[in-house]
Amino acid sequence: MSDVLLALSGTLAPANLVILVLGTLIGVIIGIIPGLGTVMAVALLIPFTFGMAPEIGISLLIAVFVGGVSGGCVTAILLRMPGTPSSVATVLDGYPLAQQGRGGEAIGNAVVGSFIGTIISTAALIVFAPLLAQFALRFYFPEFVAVSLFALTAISAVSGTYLIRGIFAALLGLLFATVGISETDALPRFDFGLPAMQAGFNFVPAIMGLFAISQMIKLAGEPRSDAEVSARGLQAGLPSVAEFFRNTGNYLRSGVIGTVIGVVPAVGAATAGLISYAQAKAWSRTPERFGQGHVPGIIASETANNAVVGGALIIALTLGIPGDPTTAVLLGGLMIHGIAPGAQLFNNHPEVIYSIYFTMIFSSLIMAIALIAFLRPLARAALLPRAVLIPVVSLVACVGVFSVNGNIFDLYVMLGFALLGLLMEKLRYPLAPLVLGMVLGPIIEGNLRLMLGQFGDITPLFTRPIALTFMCLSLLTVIYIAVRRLRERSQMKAERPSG
Amino acid sequence: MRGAPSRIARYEDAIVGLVALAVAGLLLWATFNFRAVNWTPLGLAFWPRVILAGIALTAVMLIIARQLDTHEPFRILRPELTLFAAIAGFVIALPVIGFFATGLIYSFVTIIWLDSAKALGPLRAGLLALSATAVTYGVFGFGLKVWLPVGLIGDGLGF
Repeated sequence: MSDVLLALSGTLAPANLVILVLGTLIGVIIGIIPGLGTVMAVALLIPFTFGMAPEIGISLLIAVFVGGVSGGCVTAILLRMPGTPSSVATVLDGYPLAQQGRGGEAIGNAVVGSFIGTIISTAALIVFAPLLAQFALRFYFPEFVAVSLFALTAISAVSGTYLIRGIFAALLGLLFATVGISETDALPRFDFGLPAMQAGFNFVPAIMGLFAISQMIKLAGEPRSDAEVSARGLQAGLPSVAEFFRNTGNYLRSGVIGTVIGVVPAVGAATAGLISYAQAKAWSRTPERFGQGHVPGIIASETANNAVVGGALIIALTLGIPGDPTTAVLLGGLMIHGIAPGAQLFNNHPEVIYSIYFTMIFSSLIMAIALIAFLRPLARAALLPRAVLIPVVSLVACVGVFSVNGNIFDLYVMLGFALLGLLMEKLRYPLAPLVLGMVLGPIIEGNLRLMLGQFGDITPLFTRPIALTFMCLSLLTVIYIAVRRLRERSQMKAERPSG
Repeated sequence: MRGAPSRIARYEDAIVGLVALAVAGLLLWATFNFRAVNWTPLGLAFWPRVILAGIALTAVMLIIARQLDTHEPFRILRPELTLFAAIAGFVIALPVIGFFATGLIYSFVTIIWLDSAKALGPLRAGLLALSATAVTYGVFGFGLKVWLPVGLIGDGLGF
């Protein structure tokens, strides 16, 4: 109880509240601007957390995460352009509603849905994370290898269109993680005689290059958008009490869907929103109204995509397995503060865990208040000229990277990863498996070598029940994706006109 | 419905595979120069070699597949190359002329270049560049106590 009160008083301290508010607002603004994304938002803020206590630093990053996922609904509704991929399903009913002059009502309902979704998944996080953490105490070297391989396989299979590209990207990520001093042997690998290479590729420059700089470069090459946001008279319209209670089933169902999907590696907020939307339509008495500007469609999408945050944190904090790039960056931020996720986190750093719980609740509240009270100026963020956005974001990213170690070499690493990120996107290779490979590589290697040292071979992966379960899940994921792909290909061939 | 692209990429995945195979080969050779250790049976090179074997295998599969999907050939657009060059210039100049000057020049030049519609103009671009650089310097330099480079010129002037 004292840890809970300590964490609450820490979160409510004036300086920390200011940090929470700023972090949420920054997340909302970046979420509103199409093309930036929550990964970039979280990555850009990591350098700012270096001088903070770990629980405050990670709380800032989570506030940005929550704000970013929520902010995407504004442009999804007003411009038919989701600010973040998580709001892709919100377009389906949000934009038609905006065209009917009810954009404020759409955003109001989206905000309430986002708030409820975050609260539902936070409740799940509070209840289930400690239980899973206790279960994770039974994990030994083979289990960590198996669950990491499952996460990597899942994200390779689901990211992008082709499994082989996902696996290739994951292997690249694993390879990058081997550069520098080996954690197991404390000796350098692939340094090519350069002292700067002995430190390896720092996570922050790699992430900034892949998600911030490469994104700005891509934005510079895109044609100018003629979209206009008419913010005149725009005001978020909250649902009435009767409307709220009429949609209770939708809120609860969508919250559960989002939380469960968040727990599964690689699926993500965008898929959660789409699945929840489809379920809301299936359960509705008026399914024909979906797609015409129907509020329950917006509620389903936004509740589910925000609920993914808590679900993803359940697995990330207890097993140390990030299910998506944003959570991978979050975990990277945690590890930079010297705090390792996993079962011991709950025992050794309860103040961090409780801070995370309170942050989820308060940041969702701040997000809701900000979007309702300041919708008009926030909506204008969508139209920030790229002539200002690109230089400012790239400048902040460069300085953020430099601030990690005060080392110019990190900036060259950032440039290298920026080029790689750009090439991969143009060649349609997914970035998510590469990021996860870099995060999970040391975990897999360390535990694999310990397992081989103790057991002599890899049979524990197939003889220990928990490890075997995850290995089977990995195999099933690959088979499922391969079969689905083959079916799609034969369907396309059958539909192609002959001759 | 979108029409088919006028030019279709044919060998992109094969080229990726070939490059990956070549790099994997080079790195595999590099693993034989790792220091030998006698306190663990597997050694430094074990895990990198496992990964490189995986990369070689997927590279061969990509070469066999040649091109997995139909789309226009990959190309880097001139604005993308220009921005990359600008950021690279910023990184190279940073230790020489220091953060403030480099940041200011980079921001101003990039804003002017990207503002092709001349909506902002040079005066506003200059003010925006100055504000962005000053705020970034203030937040990182004073707020987060990050030492930002003053450059060789700043060093010479005793900063």
